[in-house]
Amino acid sequence: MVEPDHICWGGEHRHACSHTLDVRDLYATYGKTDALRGISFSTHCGHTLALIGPNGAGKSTLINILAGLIRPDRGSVLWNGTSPDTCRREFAYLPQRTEVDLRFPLTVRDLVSMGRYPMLGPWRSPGPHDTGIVNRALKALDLEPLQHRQIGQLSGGQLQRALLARAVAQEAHVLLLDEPFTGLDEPGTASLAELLRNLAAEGRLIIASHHNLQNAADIFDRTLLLHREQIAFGPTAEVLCPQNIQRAFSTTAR
Amino acid sequence: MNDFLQFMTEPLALRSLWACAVIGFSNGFVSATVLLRRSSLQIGTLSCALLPGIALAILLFGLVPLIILPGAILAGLLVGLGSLFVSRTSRLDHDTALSILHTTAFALGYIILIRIGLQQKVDDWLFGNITGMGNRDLWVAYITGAVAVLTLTVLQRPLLIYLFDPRGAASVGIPVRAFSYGLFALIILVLVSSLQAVGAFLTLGLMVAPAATVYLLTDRAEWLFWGGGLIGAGGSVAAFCLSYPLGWHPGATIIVILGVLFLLAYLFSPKYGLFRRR
Repeated sequence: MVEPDHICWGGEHRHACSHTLDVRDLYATYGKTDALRGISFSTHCGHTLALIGPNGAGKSTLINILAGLIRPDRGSVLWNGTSPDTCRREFAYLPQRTEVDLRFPLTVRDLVSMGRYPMLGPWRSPGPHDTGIVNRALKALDLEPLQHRQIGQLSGGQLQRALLARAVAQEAHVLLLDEPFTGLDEPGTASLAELLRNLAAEGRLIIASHHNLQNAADIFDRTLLLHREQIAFGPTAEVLCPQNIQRAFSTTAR
Repeated sequence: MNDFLQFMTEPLALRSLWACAVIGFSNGFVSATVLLRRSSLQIGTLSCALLPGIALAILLFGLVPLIILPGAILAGLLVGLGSLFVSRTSRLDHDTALSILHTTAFALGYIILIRIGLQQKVDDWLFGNITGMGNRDLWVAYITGAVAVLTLTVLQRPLLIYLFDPRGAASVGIPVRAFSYGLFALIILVLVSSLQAVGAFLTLGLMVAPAATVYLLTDRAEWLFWGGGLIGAGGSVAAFCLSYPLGWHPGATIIVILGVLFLLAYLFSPKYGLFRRR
């Protein structure tokens, strides 16, 4: 059983396992093309949700909308019944590993400490409370021995853990990941999958774009299959049936 | 030696020394953002693109010291945004468009400067004339330097998050677009204020080398700012003192000294140097 406010180490916010994310009839355009048409689903903390679809299906657009980076043309996103704009710190966006500037002069500890920004703002200096939370995040993701390394000296899996630790230090409830499994070998995939499942079990909602149909069911318990419009949403094994996959990936899908 | 000591007590020399320290520090400080943005080459082309704006401002309003600032900013913006526009509306990439626009702008600026009879000043615009800086120029340098250092210090935390991960920064509410434009404006401002000291050609060195040197010595982003400032100021002051007895051009000497400091860090940095102990 997960403790009620397990993931909010700061204690400023009572956490309920029933935090829900409601996406209602979402439409978005990207340039001149329709990126998303009529996406609707509802899920809550504790789940790992895969966004699956062919290239250009709108997976990144959806993640960007959830992260507040772009506005939908129509429809709404509700987090516990209110707009996510009122609680941006509860959403953490994790960049793709290949987008991270590995030569940036930053240690693992500096990177994780960036997660405290929403609580500290530009000027407040971190107190023992913040230091404690950063320490716990480093420990939870097994990064303590690496904390003084520059981020370029990490393996792909270690860098992914550091990015997750930043989200944990942010006390985020929803983790938005862009293709986290791309470029990982098999052991790396297995350990990241376990990490994501654990983070979800503690009461977080994990949402990730994903492209490997073979291992999706092992990693994610929920899947949204989309090709601009929504093909199916539900438990991964049910969603990824041959008919649905055919509909999503056939070139005639509109 | 006595000659040198006597020269150093003259108000002209003292003023130039101050100018070196202030301009070196503010450029070095700002160089941290240029390095972290990975935009050194763009800044280089920009510094040359300022020339026609300055020339045009002088053509229209005469040689009033403060008038070159808006002219330079306008030219920088035109070339910077223009190249972006050309690359988006043609099959050329941004670097190609920028190269063409900035050389054209530079050539145009050169022609205007000659046509309005400022031949003897052209060298100053290209390579700087630190001893020719008046009190008013010095004040402009003080104020832009103070604005730059203060802004970058006050906003350092969100700025570093923005530079490292712009999308992550936007997702926690950091106004990334304002940061992007603000940084661009700040860089142009500092470029212009240092134009008189080291000139359009050499200012790139002052704008990149200090932080690049510190970058080879440390893994801490915060140190790039203050370390870059100290190296910029120390290098410039030392170069000015050397330039007199050696009879070298002061602006060029500054850039050479900064280059030598960079080379030393490149070779002997304990952490990342070529000859580090493995």
